[in-house]
Amino acid sequence: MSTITTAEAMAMMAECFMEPLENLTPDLSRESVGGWDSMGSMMLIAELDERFKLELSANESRAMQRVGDVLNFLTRHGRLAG
Amino acid sequence: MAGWRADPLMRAKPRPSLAQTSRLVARALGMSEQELTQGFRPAIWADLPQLLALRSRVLGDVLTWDDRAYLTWRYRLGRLDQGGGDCWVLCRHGELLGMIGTQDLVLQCEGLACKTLSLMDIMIQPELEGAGLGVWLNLAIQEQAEVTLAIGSNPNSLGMVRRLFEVLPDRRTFVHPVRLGHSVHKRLPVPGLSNALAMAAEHLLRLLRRGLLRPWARTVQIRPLDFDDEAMVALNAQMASGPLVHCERSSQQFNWRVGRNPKGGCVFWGAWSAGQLVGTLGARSMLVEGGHRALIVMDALVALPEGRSALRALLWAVLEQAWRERADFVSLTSCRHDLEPELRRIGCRQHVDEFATMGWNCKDEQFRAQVGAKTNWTVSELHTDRI
Repeated sequence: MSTITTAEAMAMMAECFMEPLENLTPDLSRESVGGWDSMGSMMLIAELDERFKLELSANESRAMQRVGDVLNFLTRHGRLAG
Repeated sequence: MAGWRADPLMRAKPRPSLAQTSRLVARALGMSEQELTQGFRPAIWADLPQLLALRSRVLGDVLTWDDRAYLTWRYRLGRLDQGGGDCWVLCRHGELLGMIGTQDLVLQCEGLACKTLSLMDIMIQPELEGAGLGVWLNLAIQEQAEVTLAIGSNPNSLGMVRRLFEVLPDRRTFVHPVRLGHSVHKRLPVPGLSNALAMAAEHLLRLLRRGLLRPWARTVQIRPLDFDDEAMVALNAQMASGPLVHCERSSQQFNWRVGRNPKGGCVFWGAWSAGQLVGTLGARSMLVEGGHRALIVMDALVALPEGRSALRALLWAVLEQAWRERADFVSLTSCRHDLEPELRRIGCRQHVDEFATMGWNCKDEQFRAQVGAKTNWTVSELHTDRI
């Protein structure tokens, strides 16, 4: 089962949301991330599916309101190391 | 002007493929990929009640027009010789999940032409947001057409334009003030004095415009445009052979898009020189944010630099129309960067509009190479659903 570090998870989100990595913090709200729109959500769903075989449902995706919620999702599924 | 290049950061991550998106969206919707693909089709008349219900749910209070009249005007809905494009729908067991509208266009560039779909009206059932359906609709329609053209119109579609299309030069909006009462009163809230000052400044501005535009207006005849005039064909041919990317205008398109638009009428002028039609400009009077009345330029077609006099004459005509209608300002959005020096010359200022992003997807390699890095496109509001 592949796992990633928090730093790698942040880099993954920076790519998905087209947001500079230095702008992303766990507390940052969804509204503050310009690229976390329907396109960004789709990129995240595709990334989680491709890298971890994880299914992020539309409901779970909509419920994520902060960057930290994505980290929590990875932790719950045992994909976040440390 | 130097050739335009997309910001490489805009392509930080490759876009998802249709196959990958189909798999993920089908899974989220509880459908097979085959059901998803088979459920995507051009809307027919019988879909109208569900389309109206979807749009009412998504648009809410924004929906202030007769939407039935709008949809039956804009889309074919299975009828021959009606509408200006197809509305595509995705259905699951007869239930409408989402829609994406298209308008038929022909792009022309230095002798080559390509049928194109301009995309608009993307809507999905609110409870399905987050499933990637909007992305899938965009990719699915790209699969149907040689060329697709998208203009970002809200924060969600802006992200999609940047990720799913090749980003083109931004359309830019220029605004010219006509009435100054609002802004003067904001800075000097003394009723009598601010009114007098605003009126004096408005007349001064008009005099300035007259000095800058009127001399050219005298060399060109301006009169209301007859969309069926044969001269339109010659002007279109001139634009099509020019060094820009031209979106073909036809009398049929004008009669449909402008003449029968249920959202409102439009004033159109033609500029004539030595018996030739050398330019056209159309504008619609609208109430905009803040309760301001604006004259929005819907289309401006003129070849530059040879049509500079015509452009100045047409600008004089639209600004005088705004003056007569007591409009607060005139606004023009275009992807014609060669028009901009003329607009700046008469005191227009650029208005920041982050949703003016434009993108395209072109499978025809020859046409794509011909378009290259051209910065001037004659795409206008005629080719969007904004007005």
